Amino acid sequence: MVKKIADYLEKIQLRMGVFFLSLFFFVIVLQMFVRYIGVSLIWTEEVSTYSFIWAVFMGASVMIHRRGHFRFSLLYEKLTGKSKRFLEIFIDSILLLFSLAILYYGIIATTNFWNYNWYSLTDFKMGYMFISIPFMGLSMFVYGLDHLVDNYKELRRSE
Amino acid sequence: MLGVYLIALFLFLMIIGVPIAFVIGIIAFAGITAAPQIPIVTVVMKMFNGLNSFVLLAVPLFILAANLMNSGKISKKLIDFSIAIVGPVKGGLAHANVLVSMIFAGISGASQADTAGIGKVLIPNMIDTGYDKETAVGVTAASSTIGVIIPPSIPMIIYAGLTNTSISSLFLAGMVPGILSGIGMMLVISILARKRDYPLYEKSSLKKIFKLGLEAFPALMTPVIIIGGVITGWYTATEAAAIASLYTFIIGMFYYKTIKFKDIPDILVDTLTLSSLSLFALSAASALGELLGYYQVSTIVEQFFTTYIDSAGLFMVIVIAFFLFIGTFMDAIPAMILFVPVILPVSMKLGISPVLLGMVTIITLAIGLVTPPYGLCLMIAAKIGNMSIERSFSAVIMFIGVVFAVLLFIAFLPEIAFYIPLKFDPYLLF
Repeated sequence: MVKKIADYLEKIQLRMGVFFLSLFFFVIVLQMFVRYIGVSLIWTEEVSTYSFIWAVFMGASVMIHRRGHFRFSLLYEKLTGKSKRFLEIFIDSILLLFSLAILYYGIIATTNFWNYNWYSLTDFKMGYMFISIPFMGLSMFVYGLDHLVDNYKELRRSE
Repeated sequence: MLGVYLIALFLFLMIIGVPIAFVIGIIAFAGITAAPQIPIVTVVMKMFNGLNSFVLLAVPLFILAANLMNSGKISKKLIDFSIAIVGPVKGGLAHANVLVSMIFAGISGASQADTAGIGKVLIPNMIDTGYDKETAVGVTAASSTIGVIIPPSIPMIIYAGLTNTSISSLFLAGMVPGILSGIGMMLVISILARKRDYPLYEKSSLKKIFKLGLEAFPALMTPVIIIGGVITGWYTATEAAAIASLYTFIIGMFYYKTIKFKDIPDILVDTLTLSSLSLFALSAASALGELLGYYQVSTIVEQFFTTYIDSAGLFMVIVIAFFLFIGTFMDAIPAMILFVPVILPVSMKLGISPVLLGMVTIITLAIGLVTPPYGLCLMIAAKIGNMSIERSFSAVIMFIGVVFAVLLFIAFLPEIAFYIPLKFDPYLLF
């Protein structure tokens, strides 16, 4: 169940990340092009920077699922069997707590700043941007849970 | 006292294997929770605001350019051309490895893509033609550190953003240590080639060299377009990164015809995931930086240095030693976000120019790319060469020694080292 949700979530987040990455790339190219023909657009920096933030947060969450974040594996490689699993479960729990904190304080930040407007496009609310934080927290929580369940199963199997 | 607890917690989490970016974030949460005046929500706000800067968009865009070069086999053209030029010399492939790293450095702003792209081709090739594994891995890893020293350079862009230094001055200055490191490594290779009898590579006819040169020409123009445009102020660093990606995409798609539409989603996913790793670390480091700011760490450091040390030379030594240590376990970007704001006021007081401090910081942290336990380029090269990190590190020492010598040269004799750039920008060292 958790596994399915996590895999599905990864697909969605990757698509969103790639979308935002392509978006800010095109907006920067557009900005240079219109400047070359002598027009200036005021919204390009804001649109590109905000899609960049979305892209980074999506990518960073997916890398939790893929265990891609850099870490020291010295202790991990030394341990074997059960103690290795316990260590993994301990690390997973720490990451779960961290993602809960991101989720909780992300919600607070989003509600605090929801109604602030963009500088350039005043119809756009800052909330659309800040909501990326709790979304990242939530997805990291799901991925962490997926790992925790995996490690717990491994532990049971080795008993 | 709180500081001691936090450092202990930091070390504990890092040693048990919590990902480093998250260790930084957890410490920020713990520290700010303990500081009564700052609301905890500041942590996530700072994580968001740390990324809210247009200049940072250059990071994924330069990685995109490098990924396009690699998957479009454009780096292969550059490698073939370099081999044709320096191949017939003793140790030719090793020389070509350094030469192509220098060209690649003028296109990409990060070193990992350099190690991966060049290493995948040249490490097996070198081993096949009779080099020992140590040399193949050592030269590849060490020469790719030049990637962040020769402009464009992601660490330079980040440093410029942190200190309000001009990116074009940093780019101009970076060429000196970058080119010197490359030449120095080639000298070391020449000496070793005679001693260890490195193989020659078949000689290419002049006609073949010309043909390969012509083929590589569009790719060889990329550094000129990027660096030239930024130094002359035609476009910003972020725009230069976008141009680099666009240009590489166009020549890969329509000139070389090596990039296919179906490759694009994979290239974008790779770019997204790879760049989000260091950018997430940056985001977490911004939150931790808030804590260092709250406790006025930079003022304490400044007071310490002006009272007890008060010597620019000794300060340089300490900065180098400190970043060498930090670089063994932390990426350049988060290390700079955390510590450059702390040391910058001291260096200004001691009369060290921000450009010089930036060069010293960036080169020292570039050495960190090949120092274990956490040396990204070393890990990539070791993996390609199927060699242990320990053996790879001992192979790399001789070549990285060159970078270290160049570092000392520019740190202590900057007027001589930057003789040529100073002709273009007389205020470089002010």
